[in-house]
Amino acid sequence: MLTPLLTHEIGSLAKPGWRVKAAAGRPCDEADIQAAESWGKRLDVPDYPRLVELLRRPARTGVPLTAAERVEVRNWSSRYGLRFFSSAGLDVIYDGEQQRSEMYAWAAAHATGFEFRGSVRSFDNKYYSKAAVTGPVGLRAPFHNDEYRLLHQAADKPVKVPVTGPYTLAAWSFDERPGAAVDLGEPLARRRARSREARRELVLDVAVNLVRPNLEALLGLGARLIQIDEPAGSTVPDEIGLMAEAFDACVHGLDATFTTHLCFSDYDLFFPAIGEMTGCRQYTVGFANDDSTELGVGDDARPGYRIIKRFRDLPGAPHLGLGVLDIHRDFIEPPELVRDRILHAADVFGGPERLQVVPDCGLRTRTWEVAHQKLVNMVAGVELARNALGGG
Amino acid sequence: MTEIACYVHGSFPRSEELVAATRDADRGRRPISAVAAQRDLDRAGFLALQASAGLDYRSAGWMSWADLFRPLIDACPGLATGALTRWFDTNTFFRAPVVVGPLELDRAAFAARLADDVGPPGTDRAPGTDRGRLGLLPGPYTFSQLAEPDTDRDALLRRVAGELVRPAAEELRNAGVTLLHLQEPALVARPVEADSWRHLNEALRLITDGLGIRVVVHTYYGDAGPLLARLRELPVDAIGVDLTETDLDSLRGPWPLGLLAGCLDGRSSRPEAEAATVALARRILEIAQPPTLYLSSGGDLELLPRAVAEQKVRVLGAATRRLREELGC
Repeated sequence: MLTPLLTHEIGSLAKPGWRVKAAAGRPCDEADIQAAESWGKRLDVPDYPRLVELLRRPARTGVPLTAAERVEVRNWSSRYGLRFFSSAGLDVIYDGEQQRSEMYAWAAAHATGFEFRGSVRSFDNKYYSKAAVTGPVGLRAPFHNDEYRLLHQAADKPVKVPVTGPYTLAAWSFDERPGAAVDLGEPLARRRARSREARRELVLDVAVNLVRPNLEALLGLGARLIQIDEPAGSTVPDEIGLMAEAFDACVHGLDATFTTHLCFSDYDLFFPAIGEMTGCRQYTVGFANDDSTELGVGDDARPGYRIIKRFRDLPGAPHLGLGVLDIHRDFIEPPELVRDRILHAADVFGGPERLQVVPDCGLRTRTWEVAHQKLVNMVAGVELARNALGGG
Repeated sequence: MTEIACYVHGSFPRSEELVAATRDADRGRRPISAVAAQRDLDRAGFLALQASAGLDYRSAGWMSWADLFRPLIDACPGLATGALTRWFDTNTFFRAPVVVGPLELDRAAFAARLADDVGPPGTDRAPGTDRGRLGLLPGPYTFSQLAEPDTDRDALLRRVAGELVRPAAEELRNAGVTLLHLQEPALVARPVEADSWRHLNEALRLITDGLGIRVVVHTYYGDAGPLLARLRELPVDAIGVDLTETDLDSLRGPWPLGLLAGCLDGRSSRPEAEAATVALARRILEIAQPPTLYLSSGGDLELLPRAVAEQKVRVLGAATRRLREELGC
């Protein structure tokens, strides 16, 4: 399943204006409808004029979209997402998480034991809705099943399901369970010991009682490639072993290829603890964010990739999903830059056999125009690398 | 007798309305002016909250700041924003400052945004005291440790202090700030080279000598206990410690400087109880006996939703008031 230099995406993609407005029950304006039409044509989305007609209807008739029609618009957004990645030339695709509110909020909203508290900053002026865990964690209902059924049927290429990981779900939540209260008058050592124990209990609770049953449901529908996202993985360096333990608690004994995604971290912190993630067959990791944009394949030319030697040397020889697109900039990486990043990694790994090629992270902060061109160039860069490696 | 004061440092959370306005403006659904208008409302609300809670130094909340370093980066052509980097052991990120040219603060550019950062001029100074507006800047040590490229950080520390933080501090003072709060999490969240303390001492002198307003160096996200002997030698008016990470008993005196006690947990959504906060403050007074005790939060409150942070501000004000009543001051 993880063949050399396979290209795939990581997760999120910006939601089109027409999808956002329809979901909110607001009418689309002409610019939204034009975007649906032009992207439908450009991406060659089957039957896209039906969507355009649906979006035009409220303004023409004065009758707003029904609840069922709003769901249909969301499904169209997923079909557009699939074609977005497929038309860019990626080998493995998904829908850019068009069905979900956001990677954390979607999971928390479908769990028991979580209560939303409000918005908190992630970076710059980007915010996410943060919940508190107030009691035992459980799965209200499998929350990727409908999405998977739709996408599996509509996709013209293999799919990979991104799933938010247990450590991230716990780390992005407040802990308001009764046992987690802290008295600042207590000796620090005692407080820390209790906090560690409370955290461990929470993370494993999320792994076993929320994420794992959701994975089992996906496997029951036929999903075989699942990426467990842990962007919070390195938040507390002492807890990386706990993240690894929780990953294995989610996937142990399940029959699928499980990968993980790590990003925007001091990756040195992950070692050696992630070597314990025996259930993980691939680490997809963002590197381009820290790299130079100059061409070159030597160590000096590729400062963002210094750490990949440590991924190469992990026990069990897992694959590396090599992040080659900086998702926080509109800069369009030329194919030659992508090529050089791959060639550098192939040199470090002694060949491309254990390498796949991905963006640093989900592309939701970029416009579709920018994101699509980045992906097109990524695929072109892979072809250049294949040719340079003699496999073209 | 110990002088007691309280304030909230750092960026204050934006309201849900401001978050929504910002998101809409980013996506072209609302004009950018809608963000500015909502931010004005947020700032006014925060100033009113601090006034009603009885806080002594009042912050405008720094709600236009994208991160702690951005106001200095934006006002210095020799700095650029770099990679998105995790902010210590939190789930927020900052853009690392990248030194690309001379470190020289464009005072006019920095001053131009002060109305946004410290609020409109007003009668916010308490009669007969120097209490009033709070100024916030990154500490020079943290700035130099997190900046790129990572060459000769000690030299960078002095340059950041003398050429960026000092002129920015003067602009804040000129705008009416009476207490400057320097955020220095890197002092306790990461190991400090022994020789760096000497450089830090010199750097802080560049900032404080002749500045004429109070300066607090605040450490958070780490245990200040093992470093207190060195911290108490710094040429500032007070040292801040994060009590979520620091043992109360490590605060034992003597305290020649003021002490900022971070007794609100900026990462917990549970509001502190007023009585427990008063009891904690009384124990701090017994243990440390500092000349001035500032009650505040450990880390800043920005990691909380606004409604939770507002509740903590009320607790801080009420606890300080009750402590003063109990002590008869």
